[in-house]
Amino acid sequence: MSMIIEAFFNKDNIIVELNTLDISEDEKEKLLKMADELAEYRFLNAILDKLDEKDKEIFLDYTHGGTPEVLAEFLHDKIVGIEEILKEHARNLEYEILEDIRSLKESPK
Amino acid sequence: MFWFFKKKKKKSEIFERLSEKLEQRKSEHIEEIKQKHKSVISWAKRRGIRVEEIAKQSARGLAAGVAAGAVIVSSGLPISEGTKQQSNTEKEIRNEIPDNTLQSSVKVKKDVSGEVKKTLSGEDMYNEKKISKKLSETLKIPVKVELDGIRLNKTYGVIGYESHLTRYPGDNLSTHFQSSVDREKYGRAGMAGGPGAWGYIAPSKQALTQKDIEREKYYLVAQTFLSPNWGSGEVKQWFRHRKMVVVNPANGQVVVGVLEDAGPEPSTGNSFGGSPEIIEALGFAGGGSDVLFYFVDDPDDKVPLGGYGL
Repeated sequence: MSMIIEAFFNKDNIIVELNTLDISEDEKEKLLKMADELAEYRFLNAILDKLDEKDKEIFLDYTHGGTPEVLAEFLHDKIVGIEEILKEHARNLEYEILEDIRSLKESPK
Repeated sequence: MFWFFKKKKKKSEIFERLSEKLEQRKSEHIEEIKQKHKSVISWAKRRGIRVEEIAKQSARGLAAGVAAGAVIVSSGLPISEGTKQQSNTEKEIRNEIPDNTLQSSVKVKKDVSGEVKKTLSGEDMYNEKKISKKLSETLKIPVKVELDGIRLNKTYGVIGYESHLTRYPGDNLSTHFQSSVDREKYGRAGMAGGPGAWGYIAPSKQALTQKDIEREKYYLVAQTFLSPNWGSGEVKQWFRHRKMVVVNPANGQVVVGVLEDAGPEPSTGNSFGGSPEIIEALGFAGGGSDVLFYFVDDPDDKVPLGGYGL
């Protein structure tokens, strides 16, 4: 799981922003975990959007039993510029989470 | 001493509000998947899985896959090269609708299951001599306990459900099946992340023949390493592609296959293994049970692989 975060989803800015909040380390960890999970769903949606119906099923087969290498090959075959697409979704998600944090800070209640 | 008076630490309000927002975003994504991707819903229904579970598992698989892709890309290698480097111990899945030139022929055969079941009824399944004789007579092919002075450790035992074998370097879910029907039917079994005990059946996709395809489709696994004749390279090679007949005595179903892998580990309790196609032909739904497992003496390769009939 951490591999995808390192590869695409940069949480450095989110961590910096969380550090400005009055929350415990445990709470911070939980929020970062939720952010990771959110990134996974975001990526899943992004991938499904790019696949036709037949390929969606093949993709699901792969994710439910294939090796990461085979899945990676399939995705690269089927989706041109997949890295860029995922990076863009990751950037948008990062921005949205940062906005969530900032808006909470600005309106504490 | 006063630990039980200690107040449980209260979650901070800002944490609760932020986690609520993130949860809400997650729910929106799940809902979006349900609304936009109907085939995902039907895929889940067919497998009896909740959509939320599918999304969770897919997201994890995707995470690993994308990460692997990123690693391979960053190493400067093409994906296929990276795939080739994967360990043989891994398991691999992949489906493909391959070229139409690879078509298997279908012939109508006389079902022998009733006759086989009848002939085996009440017999001692460990009486190799009698069983092989009866099977030879009923199936009208030479069924042997021992061939060329070589035998297996067992002729009766539990057969396990195996994954598909990687037939050549790079074979995977996208390349493996001849039709979408096969992919739908057998894709769930996954693929062994490498070749069998004797290496790839074919050196490349281009070199793959119809015979190779049939060999993988109806491949068998036996504990060749427990054979009383085990010990030399010659014996090991002798077992390769060795034609076997497998019989489910409970229903009389018969299938002919070839040895393409060694196993299973004795600790599993299984004595043999069979491809998903073999297991289905034997009438086992998703799992195995006791079978008879004998050599077919067929030096001219006349007995076709697959479900047996006359």
